[in-house]
Amino acid sequence: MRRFGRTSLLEACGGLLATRQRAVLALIGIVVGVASVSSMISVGKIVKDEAARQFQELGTDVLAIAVRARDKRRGRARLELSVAERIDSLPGLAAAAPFTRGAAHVTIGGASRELAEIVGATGEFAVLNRLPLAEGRFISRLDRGQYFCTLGAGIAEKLRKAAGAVVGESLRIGDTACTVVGALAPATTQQRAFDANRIVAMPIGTAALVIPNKTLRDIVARMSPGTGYREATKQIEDYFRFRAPDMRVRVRSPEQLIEQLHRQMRLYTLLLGTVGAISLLVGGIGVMNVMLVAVAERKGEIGLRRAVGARRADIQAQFLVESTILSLAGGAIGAGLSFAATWGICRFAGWAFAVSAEGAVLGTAVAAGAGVFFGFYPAWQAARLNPVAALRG
Amino acid sequence: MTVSGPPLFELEDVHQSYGSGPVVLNVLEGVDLQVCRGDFAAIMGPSGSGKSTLMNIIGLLDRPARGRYLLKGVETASLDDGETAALRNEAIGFVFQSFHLLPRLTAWQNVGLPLVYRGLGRAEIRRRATGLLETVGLGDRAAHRPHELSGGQRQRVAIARALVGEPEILLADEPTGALDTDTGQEIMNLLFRMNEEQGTTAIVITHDHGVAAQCPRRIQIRNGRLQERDPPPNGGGAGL
Ligand SMILES: Nc1ncnc2c1ncn2[C@@H]1O[C@H](COP(=O)(O)OP(=O)(O)OP(=O)(O)O)[C@@H](O)[C@H]1O
Ligand SMILES: [Mg+2]
Repeated sequence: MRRFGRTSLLEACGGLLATRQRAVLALIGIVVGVASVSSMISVGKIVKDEAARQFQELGTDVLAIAVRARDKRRGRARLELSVAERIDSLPGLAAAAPFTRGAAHVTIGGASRELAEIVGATGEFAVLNRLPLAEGRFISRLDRGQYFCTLGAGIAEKLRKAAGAVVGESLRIGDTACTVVGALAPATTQQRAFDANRIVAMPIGTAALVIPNKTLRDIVARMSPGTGYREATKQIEDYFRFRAPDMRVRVRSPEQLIEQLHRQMRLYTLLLGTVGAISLLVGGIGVMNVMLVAVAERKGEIGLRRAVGARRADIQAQFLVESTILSLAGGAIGAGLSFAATWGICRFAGWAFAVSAEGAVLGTAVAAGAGVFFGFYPAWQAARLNPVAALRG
Repeated sequence: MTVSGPPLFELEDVHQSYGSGPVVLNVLEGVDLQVCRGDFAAIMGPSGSGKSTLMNIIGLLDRPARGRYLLKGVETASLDDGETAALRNEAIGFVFQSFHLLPRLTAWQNVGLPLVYRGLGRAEIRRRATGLLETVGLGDRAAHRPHELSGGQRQRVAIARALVGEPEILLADEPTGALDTDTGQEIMNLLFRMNEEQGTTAIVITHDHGVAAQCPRRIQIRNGRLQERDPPPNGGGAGL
């Protein structure tokens, strides 16, 4: 700590305040750069968490199969329930649950109308979609033909508010009253084909009466252990090629979703990384400029310090401390801003925002690094000044 | 006030020149000088004669192109940057014509600057700096910044800074040059007092014959060489 006491730190701050305006300009670059880098790191971490969470919630082995008419004008091509149900005979699939769906308004407690997604489902539906129950039970094979339903957590909550209970209460879909037999636990991922919190699940037969023009188009299936999704996808496509030649099949797996998630993240990383690198470069050159001007303006000071006993290394350290403080000030603001930026990105991309210290810490470290890196040349210039020439001004 | 004994510092055949090739300017051409502890010498000479050049060499701010400079018996040419800086810090105190105070620092912080490079703590620096400010009669100005002080006061702050590290040699380059006659005399009196009370060796560059006349040793610089005027009674060493 010899020759590096508090005095020199205080003086460093004083020296910076003296060149305030230029310093502010240089700071903006550092602020933006550090904000970008911090956000980049935070987003990366959030996406990693998000992927892990989705894997956990959706399962790694579940496929969403969408079957659509290939040519809308030819109209009447449709998927038969019997064809859909028997898809689980494929070696790559362990279980399958076809379902229909369609939006409808439901009336809760006689007054409040909610837009819900009516799902015509079989008993397998909840298991395959990994939708745990909060209370009651899911509709089953035995409910066939009955106006029974199991509610998504959001709709169930509305009903509880209106009627005081869920199971045993009823709600109306159009003119049809429907008895509630169970409610699902809240789902957090938005990556299913439907919004699990807003579903009203009914037996396929009764759902067809409530949402009459919605045909069977969707199947959720679980792969057999050891089957990759590419292999399963191939089998599914082959299966429909013969049984429903007019239909186009799309298979989505969580793996694919997460690949997509990572593609999206890579885009943000590229964007933030580029913006960050450019801003840091601009800010760093700004810092260098501020410091070069400071060295030129304070030649007399440098000479005087040398005259009273400063070594070259002391002068070098003094200016390095100053440039680092300058960058760190920008870095602190940038790290703060990165929280806002990350929040914005998460909102836009539909990810759960989480504050991560890593981004801020790394961003601040980057700022300190930039301060040392871009401050090095000016500090070296200051240190190698001839003291006599420096004193002359 | 000259105390006999081995010289505090010694210049031997010192040369210094500026520029290169055909436009080379030989400023010092064989300077010999011996200064003993307690000496008080005035250096005089026309403008451009090399007074400041000489003082920068004595103060270890610059190195002679040729010749030897021994400070406290040490051959200074062999010292590295750290050793030179330490020697400047401990053995030498500078006073400049234009004061060279740092405008952002208060009087006591300016005075304490040499001690910062000695690695002392803030409280200790403050204590010693305020003590020195009292010695130069500015005890009540410790917290003022240079722009709040008069020229004479600034130079006294600068002298306090030069003395705070208890150096053996005080080097003053026209310390009264920017001051009126009365204020200049006060500054000179302060230097004489330090020389008498603390035995600080002082080398003062001046254009003012009145000032020079008060100094026990007077050295004239002419054509790149030194010439002792009215050698002091005890015959302290002096080159031609
Ligand atoms: N860095 C330099 N480069 C070139 N010439 C220099 C340099 N420093 C000093 N000189 C020249 O050396 C000569 C002596 O300069 P110096 O500053 O020692 O004079 P001085 O006796 O102190 O004069 P003054 O009384 O005006 O202060 C001058 O002619 C000056 O122009
Ligand atoms: Mg001069």
